[in-house]
Amino acid sequence: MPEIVLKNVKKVFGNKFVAVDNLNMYIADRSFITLLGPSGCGKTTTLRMIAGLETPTEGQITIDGVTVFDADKGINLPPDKRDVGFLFQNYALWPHMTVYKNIAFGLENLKWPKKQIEERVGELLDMLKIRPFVDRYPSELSGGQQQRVAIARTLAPKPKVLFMDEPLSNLDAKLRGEMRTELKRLHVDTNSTFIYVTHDQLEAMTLSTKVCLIESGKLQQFAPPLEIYQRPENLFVADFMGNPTMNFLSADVLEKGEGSLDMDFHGKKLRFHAADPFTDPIGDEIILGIRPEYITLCETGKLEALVYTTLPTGMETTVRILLDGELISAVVFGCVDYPIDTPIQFEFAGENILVFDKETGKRVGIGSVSVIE
Amino acid sequence: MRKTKRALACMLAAAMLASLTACGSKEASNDATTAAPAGTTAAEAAKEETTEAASAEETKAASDDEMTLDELIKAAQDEASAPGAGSFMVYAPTSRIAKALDAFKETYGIESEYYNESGQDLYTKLTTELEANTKDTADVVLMQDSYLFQTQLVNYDYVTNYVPPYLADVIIEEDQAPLVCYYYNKLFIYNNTDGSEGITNIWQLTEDAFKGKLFMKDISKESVNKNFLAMLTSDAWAQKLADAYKEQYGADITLDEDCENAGYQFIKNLLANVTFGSGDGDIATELSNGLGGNMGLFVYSKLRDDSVDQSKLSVVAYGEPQPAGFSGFMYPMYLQMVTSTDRPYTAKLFIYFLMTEDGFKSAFQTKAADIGTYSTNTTIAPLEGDKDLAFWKECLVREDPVYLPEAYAGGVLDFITYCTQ
Amino acid sequence: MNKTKNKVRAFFSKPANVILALFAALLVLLTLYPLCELVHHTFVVHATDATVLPGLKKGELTTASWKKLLFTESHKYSLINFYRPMFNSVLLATLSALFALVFGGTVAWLVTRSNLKGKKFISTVFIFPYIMPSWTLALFWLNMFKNPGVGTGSPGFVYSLTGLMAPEWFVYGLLPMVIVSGLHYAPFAYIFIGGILRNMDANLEEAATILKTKRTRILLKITLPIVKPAILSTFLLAFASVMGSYAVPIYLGSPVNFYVLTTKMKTLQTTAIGQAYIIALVMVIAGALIMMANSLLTGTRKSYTTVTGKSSQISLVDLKGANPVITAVLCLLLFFVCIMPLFSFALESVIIKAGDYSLSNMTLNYWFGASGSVSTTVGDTGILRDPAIWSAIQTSLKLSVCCALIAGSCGVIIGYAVVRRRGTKLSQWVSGLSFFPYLIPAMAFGAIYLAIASSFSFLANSFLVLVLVGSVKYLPFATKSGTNAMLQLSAEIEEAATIFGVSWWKRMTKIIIPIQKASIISGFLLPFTSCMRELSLFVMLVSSKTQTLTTMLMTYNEKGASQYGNAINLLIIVLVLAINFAVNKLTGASIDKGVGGN
Repeated sequence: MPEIVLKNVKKVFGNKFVAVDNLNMYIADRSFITLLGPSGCGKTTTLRMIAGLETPTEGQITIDGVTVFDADKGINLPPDKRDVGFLFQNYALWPHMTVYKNIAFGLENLKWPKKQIEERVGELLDMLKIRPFVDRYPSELSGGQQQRVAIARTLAPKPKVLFMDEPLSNLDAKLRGEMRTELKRLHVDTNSTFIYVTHDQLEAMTLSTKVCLIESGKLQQFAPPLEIYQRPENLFVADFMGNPTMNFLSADVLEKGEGSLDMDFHGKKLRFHAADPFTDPIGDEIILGIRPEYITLCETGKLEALVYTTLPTGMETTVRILLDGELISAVVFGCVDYPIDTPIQFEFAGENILVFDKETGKRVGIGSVSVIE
Repeated sequence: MRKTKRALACMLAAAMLASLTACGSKEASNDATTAAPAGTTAAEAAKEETTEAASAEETKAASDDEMTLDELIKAAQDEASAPGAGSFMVYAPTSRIAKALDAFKETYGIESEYYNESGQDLYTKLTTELEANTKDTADVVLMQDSYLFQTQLVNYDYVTNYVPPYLADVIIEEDQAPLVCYYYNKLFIYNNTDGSEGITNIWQLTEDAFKGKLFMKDISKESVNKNFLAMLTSDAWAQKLADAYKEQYGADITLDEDCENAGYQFIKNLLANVTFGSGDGDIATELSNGLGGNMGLFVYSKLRDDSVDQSKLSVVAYGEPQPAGFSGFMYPMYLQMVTSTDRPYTAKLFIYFLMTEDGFKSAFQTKAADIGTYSTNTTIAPLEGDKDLAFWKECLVREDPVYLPEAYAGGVLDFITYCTQ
Repeated sequence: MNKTKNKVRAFFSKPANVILALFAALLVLLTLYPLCELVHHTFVVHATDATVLPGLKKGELTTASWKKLLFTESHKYSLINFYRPMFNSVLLATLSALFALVFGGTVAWLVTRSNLKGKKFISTVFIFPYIMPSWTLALFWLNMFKNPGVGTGSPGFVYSLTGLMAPEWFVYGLLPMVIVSGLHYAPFAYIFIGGILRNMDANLEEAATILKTKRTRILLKITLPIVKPAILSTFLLAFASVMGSYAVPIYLGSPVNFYVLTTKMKTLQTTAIGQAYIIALVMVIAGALIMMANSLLTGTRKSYTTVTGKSSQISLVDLKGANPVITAVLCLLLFFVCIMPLFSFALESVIIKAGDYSLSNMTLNYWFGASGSVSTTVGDTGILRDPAIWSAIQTSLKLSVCCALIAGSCGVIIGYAVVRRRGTKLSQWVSGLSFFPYLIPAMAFGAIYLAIASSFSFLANSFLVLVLVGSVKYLPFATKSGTNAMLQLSAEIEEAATIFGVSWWKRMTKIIIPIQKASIISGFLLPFTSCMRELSLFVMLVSSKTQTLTTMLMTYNEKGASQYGNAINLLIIVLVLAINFAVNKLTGASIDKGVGGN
């Protein structure tokens, strides 16, 4: 079964720019992996290296047990020998071919019998609901239709692995939502491994079985989306995932205990109860990472701040509150409106409050926080 | 897929290699053929080779003198039908050579090719090819410009003189070595529409009255014009010019500081009045359409061109009396066999053919308008309205292949160029 | 060891690398080698040099030619033969390039950014002067303005019609040369600048409009800076082209002793060819400097000229009351410089005695006459009855098609490889090398190839050598247009096929070439057109079997058969225009696409 393994993969471009640095990854069969990160972080390069469109400088890549690239042994299989499909950001449909021809071209090249090609193309036309456009040229299609044709073309030879490079970024918001649903369904229907590049964390969250977060060519965390959301490895990951973003509150450590931590936060004394043992020794300054949904606004809260602004979306409301000049986000279910500049009480809830070391940015603990005095 | 790609790469690489080895092997073969003593350059060695070939040719040519014309024709025709015979090629500065070749084929059944270019490029092409020992170069050349002929061809034995023994009696003696096929002349011709009567002394052309009214082809575009001016600095012509000056002004000429003799002084004064035109044809046409009194120096034959109104133009040389000094200039068209030719008999036959009346008229006197071309074969009469060669030799400046290189080495050209500015 | 082997193998597994390596080698052979020969020739004593440089023998190595040309004071030799012509060349090239830029740029702006009328006519006709051989405009200028006050005093068209006498400085010399060369290269500016203006996101200007910026200020502060790279490269390209032009200076300059490097080089070829080669070398160096300046000045800025995807609605400047005036003036002007020459040549090819435009003085015999119907120094039949002309037409067409196919195809392939490996040393090296033939003056190029051809018997006097030299000489145009075509095509289009295992050959023939068909064919048109009207390059390489139309034309012009000359001239222009038009209608390709416009 096609699992993909990357070992110490490195890519240096001509001008000494390190695009990908020492990347190790194991991608299980039939998973839906997202390569996530800000633009220019090396995610597309990684994808293209696995697909064989780019040659890594160092390292080793195996697909389905077959070494497709090995810098030391001089192995470098061309893309077509890797049994992969690739969906491009700009679709890369061939403008001089009709929809039918676009889908059939690859199959013809693979020397499929004519009848089989017809069948397969028909299947895809129906699957992606583009049969009415079969004789049109790409320039006569809308963006969404072009996208479907591109997907059909990529799926045609039934690749074991499907690569997608920000395929939805050129679509409008509504269409993007629809295509997301279809892609996820497609993943199940086609029974193949998907590797997906995006800079949209929401897309990564909703689609993938596992997210690979990259920054500046370095792997930050490789885990299922919920784990990345709940237990980010470091400040970068925590900040990148989630909308509204996580609150990062600085606090000075007063006393370190076994599985607990006392700290000073804007004149209040807080105590942190670790759910797991601390992973690293703790410095004197830490950062508390608290997702907005773990900040409860209630009259019994022991902390007090001013309402800065409220941002209702209908289903939920983000309330931004101001504490000694520091903005904190909180999310409340439903439509709630608070008068601006009025005092409001809050506290920290839940077991998923994170403690980061201020110096290294690494997550050292996870647990709950209570206000002592 | 991968295989085809590899095959393609191999093919490309092979093609590259082939092109590289092609030039490599060329050098190698050069080395092999020139088995020259160490220290000699390839060029020198190549030259040695040609001179060797040339001497062999000469001995053969000597015995050929006893050949009858029929034997020569037979030998030439055999050359054409011999296996691996190269093409018979003639280089000439005139496209009329094509007609001569057609007639040659009609008469003797021998095919030939030509190259024609009217300027320096003809020499550049010929010498480059001869230097490189190209097989596919000229076998016979018609060349004008005595200076270049002498310095580029004769000095290096690239050409061999051949006078057909069958015509030796009728060809003017002084034009036999080197053999001149014919002469062209360029004459002072003026627009007579304002009643102008031309000049009586050549020095009149240097007077202010002719400022901007004197036209000749850009000397940088045609070398015979330069040769003409250079010839004026020779002792003989300088003397004649000094005499003419005295005749005109009644006093001895006083020379400027930068003028060595009367010839230099004449050039300096003349060029101050000259306007250069792009070609003889244009000058002739425009002169006939232009203002009265304008004077041009151009090829006589242009007078009979459709576009020229002959009645408006007069030839200075036909004036009574002819002007003191000279009335224009003439230049020879040398007819030579290329020393390294691989078709020597055909070459000789062709030279013979061009020197006969039939051959000459087939190309250079095809119609009544073809004046201004004078065969050195005395049996060929000038066309109606034209004069014979002897007349022109009297009143025109002629090129001297011995003096010209001397003059150029002495910097005459620098002086002429300086005067044109 | 093994690792380097792997690296080499990996390197050559990419077709683009194979192409680059191959062409790097080939171009070194075909352009760098001739260049070295050129340098070598400046130090060799040739037969002609030996006679003007006393004491030297043919074949020796010497620096005497250099000393003579650059440092001889007697008779102002160096000044007259080198420094003044060089100054003139630079002056002429600068002014002509400026004129081309201002004229072409203005028209480009008017056509793309204003509501000018008659745009179709203007944009069709505007590139005519570039398609026509450059000497045609010079001849036309003379046909128009010569008059009794100038030169031989034969009347031209304007004088015959109006009696107006243009002064000498208007007929000959710097001014007409600048105008004629400027007009000839104005299409460069039109195509380059127009291309950018058309593709420039109108939002850039609209953003300024919303900020209440004045029109003139927008033009100066937004539009001009954006087209600046195009302006610079147009200027430099036109500059280099004018520096190397020969026909215009010979017709309009030398009658009044206005010499430039090219005309001087031609002169020196007869008397001191070593010095002629030095001038050629100086011109190559000047060209190389210009090329370097070009890449220095535009290289870093090119990025913001790239086309934005959205073709938003461009708001056109309303010329208001001036519109009909500008339209009329422009159309009239273009009619005058683009259409009139054709009429002029047609007319001159049927009149018997120059200057007499009455019907009785006209005959079609120069075109169709049977043998003996006309009398000139060169021939007596109409050119269309002359088998030599038909064979020349054939040779010209065959040669131009061959050169276009070879140069064009190589251009596409080089363009592909250069774009795919953009940024690598090899790619820069190849694209730089392929530009070199542009810098070597055609005359010197022809002379060097004659020497090369003479050493290979299969090349000497053959059609092949014409094809070879033509293909190499026009490679720069083809490479430029090939590179442009490939830049417009995203790599993804090709990669989408790579994924399916489509072979490189099939990717080129089934995907890349069909998509960029119009651009690619346009890249073929440029070498074709240039080849049809080329003279100096081929003059020494043709033989009687391979006469081209231009070499025939030269023969007739030299012999003063002006009717024939004009007729052949017209024939060349009409052939080129007809083929360009036909190709344009059939494939949508056009010259302007080839040079980089859209």
